Amino acid sequence: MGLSCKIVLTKYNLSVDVAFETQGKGITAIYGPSGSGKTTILKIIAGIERGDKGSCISLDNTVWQNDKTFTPTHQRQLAYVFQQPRLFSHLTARGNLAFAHARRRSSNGISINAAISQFGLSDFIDQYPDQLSGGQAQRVAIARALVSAPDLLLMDEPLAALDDKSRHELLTLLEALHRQLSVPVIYVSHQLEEVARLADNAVLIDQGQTLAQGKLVDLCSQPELSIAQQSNSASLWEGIVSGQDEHQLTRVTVGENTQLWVSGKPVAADLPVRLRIPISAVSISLQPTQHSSIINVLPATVAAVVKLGFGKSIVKLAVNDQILLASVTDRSVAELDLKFGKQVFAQVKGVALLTDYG
Amino acid sequence: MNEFISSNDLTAIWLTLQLAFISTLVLLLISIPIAWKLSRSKSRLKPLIEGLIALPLVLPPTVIGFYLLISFAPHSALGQTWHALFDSNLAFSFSALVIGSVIYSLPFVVQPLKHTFDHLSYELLEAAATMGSSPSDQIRHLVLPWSRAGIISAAMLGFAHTIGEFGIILMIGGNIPGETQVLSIALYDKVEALEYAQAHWLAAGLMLFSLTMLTTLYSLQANKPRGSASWV
Repeated sequence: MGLSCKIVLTKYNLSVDVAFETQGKGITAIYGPSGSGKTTILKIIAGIERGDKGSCISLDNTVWQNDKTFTPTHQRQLAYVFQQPRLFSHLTARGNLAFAHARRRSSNGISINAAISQFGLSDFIDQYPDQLSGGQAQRVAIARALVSAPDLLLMDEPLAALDDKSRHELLTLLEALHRQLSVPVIYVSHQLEEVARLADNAVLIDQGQTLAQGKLVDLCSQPELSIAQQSNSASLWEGIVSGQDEHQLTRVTVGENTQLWVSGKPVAADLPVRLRIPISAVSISLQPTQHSSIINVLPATVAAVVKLGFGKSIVKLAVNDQILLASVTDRSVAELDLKFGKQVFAQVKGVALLTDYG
Repeated sequence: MNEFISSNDLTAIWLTLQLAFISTLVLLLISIPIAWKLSRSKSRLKPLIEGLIALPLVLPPTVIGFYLLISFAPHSALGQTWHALFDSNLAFSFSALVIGSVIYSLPFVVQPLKHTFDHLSYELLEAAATMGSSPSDQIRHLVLPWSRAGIISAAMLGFAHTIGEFGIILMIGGNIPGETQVLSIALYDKVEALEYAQAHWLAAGLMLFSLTMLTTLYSLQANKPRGSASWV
């Protein structure tokens, strides 16, 4: 079940050869640098472009493309959110939703009114697209996609064209949406932060090839992968809110018995959350530091050291049953003699609590 | 009835309007699909088709008129078929005028339509397809509404151009009052007969009419309705 893709395409200077599957619902990110073929993959899934011979795309038990069949886009039960909103400019925002609603393939999707309230469209629902801001227009576009009641939702960098404020608002909306959606989502992005906040699974793409795929949390703990080597890379931990102190810090329990204190707005107890721990926010010492402002100090064991070049390394730390990556200099690696099996203390400064998650 | 406009002239005016209305209707019906195909096609034959449609722009009307005259002749294949179908002669008939007008005005209708279709957003049609909108549904609910201004412009150009036709009609229609004598031919007759006062009325009337059409056309283009070619 879910989406199953084998995509082969050679065009101009791009050669795509990828294969991946999704299991049930949840967001699968296709992550990779610009020009790596991400959008092409999405277009082939949608039938806007056609994969070469050998391509095979199916959703659940319905084959959309193989060497014998090719289902045109309008007969595939999907919805597509593009980088630009692509609203119909002769229709109001409501008219755009109605257009999708009139052509929906099943009665399971949300109603127009539900979409209006969920995406906060009521203030501008009767305006035309050229009267909307970029953020408003993209909210209408996402609502329009959902109103068409798809069995698969494709999103191509839907936040890339927005200013920071709109991007932040929409990201929050998408996080909330993530928990309600009952259909699989393929989310193309080259923004690590978006992927970290939204995706359950990821397919890492470079130059049209699959580098790795799997659960995002697992991929982010592999220092050999480029997704873990960016300056804004981060380890992702999934845990449960387990308490709060008198200074409004939230305690999150991760795995068996690892605990982290996180600041930010209070979160209800027992809620599943995702923690984002930037590799640059983790430092390593041989002794537990005292008289420090750093609250989270975790005993850890060095599991691997990966050299990145230019004097930088990533240290893979085992913290109980969790993996934590730390970005350190080669000099620190030498001076602290960091190597496999070494007992150290990870000092974590700056954990982001992404959202109630799961 | 005054001395400047005879009942014969009124018949010519009425016939001209009928011809222009019918020709415009036929032109729209065939030009919309032709322009849409041309706009979307990447065929190598496309320049040839476009060239054929544009021929009336460069050829003297007498050339097209000559070939039409020959093909409308009673003994020709088209003439015979026509006779078998409608039991009447095609040559020097009103129907012949309609066919001639359609061919002669085709580029004036196809080209603005194609221009309109060329500037429609393919990306919006893609988006529509992802919502389950079939190609025919896209044409009905998106392409035609977006192209309203272009279709009106094309229709007005076709109409005005048909009214202004002369050479081709002279060749294929002759000068039968009530059947093929249109305004421009009637005017020609007046000048031939040195009836300059009446010729003035007809000429000025035609000029005023054409100017009104063109002014309306350009003001339409200046105030494009929402959405026609842009997208957000």
